[in-house]
Amino acid sequence: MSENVNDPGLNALEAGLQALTPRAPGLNRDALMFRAGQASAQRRWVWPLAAAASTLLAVGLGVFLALRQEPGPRVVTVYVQTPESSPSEKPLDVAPGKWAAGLPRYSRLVEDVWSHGLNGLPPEPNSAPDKPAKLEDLLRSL
Amino acid sequence: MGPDDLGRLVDLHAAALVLYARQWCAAAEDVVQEAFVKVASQRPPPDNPLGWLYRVVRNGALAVARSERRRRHHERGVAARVPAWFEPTEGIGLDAETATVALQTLPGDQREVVVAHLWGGLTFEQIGQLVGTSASTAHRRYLAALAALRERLHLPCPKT
Repeated sequence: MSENVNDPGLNALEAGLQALTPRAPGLNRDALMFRAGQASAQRRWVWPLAAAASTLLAVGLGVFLALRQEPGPRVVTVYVQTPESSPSEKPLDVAPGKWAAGLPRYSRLVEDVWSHGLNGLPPEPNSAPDKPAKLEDLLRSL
Repeated sequence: MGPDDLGRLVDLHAAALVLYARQWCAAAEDVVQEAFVKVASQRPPPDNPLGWLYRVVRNGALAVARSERRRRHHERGVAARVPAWFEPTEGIGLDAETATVALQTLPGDQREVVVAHLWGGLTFEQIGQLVGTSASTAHRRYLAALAALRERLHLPCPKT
């Protein structure tokens, strides 16, 4: 919508009126800003209410615990049947004398190696034959 | 709303808002101050703070006017005791007191539109929203008010 006034006379009146300055308001600007600041910083009631509610709850629970009738200790006997152990589940005999006796002692072995070199080592149980079998010996064995 | 924005609103619009509230009540400054305090505490701040302020001032001024009327048992001569609405002027075609009296004799709905548009700087759309009419109705009231003021101020009609 056009906000112009087409009548020249009304235009002049409009301009004359607009030239009038509204009387300065009797507002105390500083006091107004102070009050506005107070109003904008007013405490919200959410957190105080939450704190009061939790405090009341804690006090109520404390009173409840203090006044509660404590029941005596309850003894319950439970019988548990254990299955008999099978032979396969017997523990292995791991007495140190039995398995350690068949092995060369480490310190003796070290001494033999130091004094005789590799010849000091005990012979291997399944050592290979010194000579390969000849064909004639194999045929003779048939 | 931050203090800077609020201070700017006060500096720019307090005088016009007080003039707007003076149409209805004598305690215009109190009404405007309350409106500024209210706008500062709005969460979130209004989208159009100026329009919001005018609406709050209007509602507050009308409420105060009702209570003032209840207190008064005589209404004659009230207009004569109302302080001047404008600063005294010299060298301008219109006298401040004469303009004040002429404005006070206008019908309330017309005067409201003139004050809101000329000194408040509101558009006719905003005024329509403020007073609950259409923009064209506000514009018609404005033109009618200017024509009535021209008669009351004895200004000559221009020759066409």
